[in-house]
Amino acid sequence: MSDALHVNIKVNDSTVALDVPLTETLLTSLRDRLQLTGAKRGCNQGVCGACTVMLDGVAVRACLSLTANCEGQSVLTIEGAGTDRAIAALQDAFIEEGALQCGFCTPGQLIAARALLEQNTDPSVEDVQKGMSGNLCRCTGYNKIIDAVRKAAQRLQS
Amino acid sequence: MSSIGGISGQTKNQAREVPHGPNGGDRVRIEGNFDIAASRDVVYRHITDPGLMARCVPGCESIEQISPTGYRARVTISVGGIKARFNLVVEVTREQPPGLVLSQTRGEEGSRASMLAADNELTLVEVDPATTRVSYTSEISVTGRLGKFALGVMKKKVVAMGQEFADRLREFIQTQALPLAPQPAASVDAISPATQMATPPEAIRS
Amino acid sequence: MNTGLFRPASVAEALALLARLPEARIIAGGASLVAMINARLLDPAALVSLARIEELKQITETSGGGFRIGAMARHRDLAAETRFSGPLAVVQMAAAQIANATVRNMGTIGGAVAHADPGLDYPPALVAADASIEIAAALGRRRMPAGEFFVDWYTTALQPGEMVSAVHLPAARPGVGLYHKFARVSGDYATASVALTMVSDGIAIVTRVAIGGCGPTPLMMAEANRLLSGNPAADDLRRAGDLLQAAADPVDDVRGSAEYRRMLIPRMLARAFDEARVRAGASR
Repeated sequence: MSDALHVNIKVNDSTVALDVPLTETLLTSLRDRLQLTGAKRGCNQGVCGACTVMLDGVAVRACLSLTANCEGQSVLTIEGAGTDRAIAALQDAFIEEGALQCGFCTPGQLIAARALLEQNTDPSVEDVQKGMSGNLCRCTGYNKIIDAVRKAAQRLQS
Repeated sequence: MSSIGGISGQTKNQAREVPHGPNGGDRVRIEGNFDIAASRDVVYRHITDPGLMARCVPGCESIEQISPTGYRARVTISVGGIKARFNLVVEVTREQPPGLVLSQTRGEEGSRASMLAADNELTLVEVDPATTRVSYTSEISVTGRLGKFALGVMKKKVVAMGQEFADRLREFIQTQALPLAPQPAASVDAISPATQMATPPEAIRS
Repeated sequence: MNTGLFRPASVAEALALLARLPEARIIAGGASLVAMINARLLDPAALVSLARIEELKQITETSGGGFRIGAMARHRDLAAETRFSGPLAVVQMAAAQIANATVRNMGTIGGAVAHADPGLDYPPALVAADASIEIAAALGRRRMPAGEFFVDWYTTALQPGEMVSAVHLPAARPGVGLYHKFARVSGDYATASVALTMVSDGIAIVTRVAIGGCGPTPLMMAEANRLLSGNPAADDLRRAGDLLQAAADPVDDVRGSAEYRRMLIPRMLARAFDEARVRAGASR
């Protein structure tokens, strides 16, 4: 096991100092050290999207990010997105449309949807399918998620 | 008298992957055959020499005898930047000199992070008094982390290893400076002294 | 210090670190490397991160109209590139089909190329585009055609202590380029893929095809390219497909059996070629 590395990162507007092994992922640090369990460990291979968070304003896989390599960067998790206008609209739409059941994938879906809406304020069904293809859901069958994202997009535009 | 060199008219060795079921599962069956310009007795003596086997198996770092029919071997398989060091136990389950050797290989790498199991069959057929056809089949399964994440390429690697093993074996036997002195048909216990280690027999890992 | 994370500010510094720490690995985007660490296939004691090296992030037009793509260029940026015209579009199309939007934010062309997984999208696209790989070594930089860079399963021509610094695309010429990928699901590694470029400069039509996912390296055959160049008849197209199919050496794994992948090759080739011809005709 490598010696612990000292890392300073910003998580949800708080500056945090961590001592982590070289191969510790951001996902592990968020969940196990900071008790920010919104991001989920679904596959630990970057495929399922349940660990999606924002890093310096860009959606990334926390499971594929090494904490030690995030020195000085700024992480936004679902726990810190409560006052974000886009996230709030998405959360309302998700609830109204029934776009979640067990909720395991939901934090990742919301972060990915927010990133999509930043790039495309009026996505078509196909745009949402493509833009959020990296977030798997075992419960909903996706259609309600697509409806919710498009509903939120409409509301954010008005 | 076995000839040295002179490899015209030989069957080219090929190791083939034979898939089982849809997508091949976690098993691969490799098989191949090749001719060696040496008599069957000579070839048989060489293939039952674990020291030579160690030199012919690509990536074999060591081999030691642990029982009259068992050997422990360390074989490294490299795939790109990943080096998997396998700890293997080979058990010879049946020998019918000078024509047949059946063996089983069991082992692991990375403290049981991956497991490997193989059932091997080696047959020797006399083509003529100075030429022997060696045929091998091996049913190999790889499970664990390499089986999960690298199975496709692992299967390619073992096929390539079978090919290289055959090439090295044939090269060694055919280019030997001195053929082995004639001896009575090899018995099950005939082991070259250089590879017999002074360790007490241990229980074979199954 | 021999362990830990190093963040050099220049290629020269990175190379010096690799020389001093032969066990260290490079981390580019981390999309492949960290996945392997998570799968316990690797446990590096030292990593050299390229995140701070500005030179590696640039995508620049070179004199003569080609492009130099820094090794740290993200898939996202290459997928959005509008400057890769004609046959070079094969690279943009390949980038756009890698994984998903989030992973494209992380992965880099240098990391992908150095990893050389046979199911990746860049390798066949770069071979079809006649790209070259720029390798940085302590003794200096050199370039190598993409077709020579990919050597074997997960194996490239990189020597210990070397790193990919850029990918070079030749000047765009009139023509088309496209990348078709067959995968189990959207974003998966390719079960099989076809990268095709067709340069039609009014004098001759020169076609290059590289098959991905069907062997240790991208599969390109001079004879198949010859058959597909000019104005091939249906028979030429069929023979090219047969040649590539016979030469393929696909793995057998969960993404598809070797037999299935071989079956896909001529079919995908035919579709790609037909589309290329239509696009080439439309662009005249």
